[in-house]
Amino acid sequence: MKIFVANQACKKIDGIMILKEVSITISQGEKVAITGSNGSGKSSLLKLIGGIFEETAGQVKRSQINIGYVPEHFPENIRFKLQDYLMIMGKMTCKSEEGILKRIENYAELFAITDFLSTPLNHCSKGTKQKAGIIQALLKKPDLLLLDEPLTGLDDKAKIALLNQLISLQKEKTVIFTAHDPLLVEGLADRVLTVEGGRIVHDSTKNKKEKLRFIRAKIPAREVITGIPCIRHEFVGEGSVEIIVSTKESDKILVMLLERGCSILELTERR
Amino acid sequence: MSAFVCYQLISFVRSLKFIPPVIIFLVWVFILYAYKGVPILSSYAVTSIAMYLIMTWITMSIFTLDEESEKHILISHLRRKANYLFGKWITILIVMIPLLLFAIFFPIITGSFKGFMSIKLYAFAIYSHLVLVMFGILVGTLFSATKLATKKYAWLSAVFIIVVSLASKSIIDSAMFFKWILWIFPPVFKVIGNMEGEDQVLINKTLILDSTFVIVYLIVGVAMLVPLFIKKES
Repeated sequence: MKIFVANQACKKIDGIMILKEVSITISQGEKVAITGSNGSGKSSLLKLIGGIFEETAGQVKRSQINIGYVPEHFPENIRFKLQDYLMIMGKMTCKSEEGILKRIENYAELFAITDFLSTPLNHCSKGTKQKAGIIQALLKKPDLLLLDEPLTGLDDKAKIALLNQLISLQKEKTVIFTAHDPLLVEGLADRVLTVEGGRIVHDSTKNKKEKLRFIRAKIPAREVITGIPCIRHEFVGEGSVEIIVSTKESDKILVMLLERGCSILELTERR
Repeated sequence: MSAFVCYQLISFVRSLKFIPPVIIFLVWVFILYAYKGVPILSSYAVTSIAMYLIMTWITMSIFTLDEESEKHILISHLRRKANYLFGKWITILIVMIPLLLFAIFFPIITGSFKGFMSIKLYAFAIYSHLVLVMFGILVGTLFSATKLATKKYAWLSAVFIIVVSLASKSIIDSAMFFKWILWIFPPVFKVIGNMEGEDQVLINKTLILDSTFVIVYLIVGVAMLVPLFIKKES
């Protein structure tokens, strides 16, 4: 099913043409990365896809689906405590208060912000606010998740947690994100749009089979994995871990593991 | 929608932006009823005008409460941009309720009026306050939730609209020509013009015509603001 179709769509803001003759089709279940330099129009394209922006010229068709949106910069002056904010945002879509609370607790644990749940949001760090922005979108259980530079301000652990979370989304969920960080593009995207000067200059479908490697390693302690830029990891018992990494990063990660006293048990191409 | 309204109310209260307009309104009412034995209808006309000014102020404060990214998040949860506008209006109406009750019942409780209240007077007092509240919401929305909000002089323009609408009777008296221009401004005098003189409400042809004009004006105003808001947010 096509969820977004644009034909020669343009967007003008304050007399400046931000997007020029954009023609793309996005289907349900695609994981699309939008890349490009600063000011190239990545965020504007994301907003056009999500319906936050409407086209000034051309044609755009969007299917009526549940959208979750994570802005690049989480609002600075939200006047709620973290948990109250997530609770009230959850209530906008979900009726069961108990169900929302449980999901908030799960996400808070996943993104390591449990200690900040009773902290006012305007006292939280940039990273914690960014995590709150991501959780509010995930609480919606969206069919289309739009993330504008989602890794901004996140620590390595949170980056991996987000990646794992996005990878674990059901196949039919569509994820579109803008990113500079190769971690997310390599680990999640199956299609990459490159934007320059408001135009899509490159639209490529990635072959992830060639891009990922699987490492199984024996580890002295779980902490040694901290800070390793893997796409996904899973502990197998106390003594070993399975890690999925991008091909580009695999040699660097193998060295890191060996330096930290790990033994490599297996290294294979994945998917 | 109830969660969104709750979000807006909490956010508005915690922003403390309600303090200046509410304090001014309360002081205005206290001063107005400092004297006892005042006429009913003309006193209610004054508090209706006060609510017109204050609700424009409150509307503009509530519409400027959210940051741009906050608004985008909220709209994504509400699914439709128009729901955001309706939610804001509901929030404003909830904020209005205690002020309206205070304006109507304070002089009755303190025994400030020289006459006695009747059902007709109650009905007309509620009507006049509600209509002027609506005018305030329309003016406030126009200058804070449409493309006019981005203009440098949005607040000044809102004040200009209020002043002209309040002075429209005198302006038309000075030159009849203005009659053909001033109909676009909120028809304040079609309400408070019926609150002069004796403390009785006469249901006559003028009152019915004026009320019909006012209701049509409000419906057209609301119907125009929705696409203007959506256009601004696109």
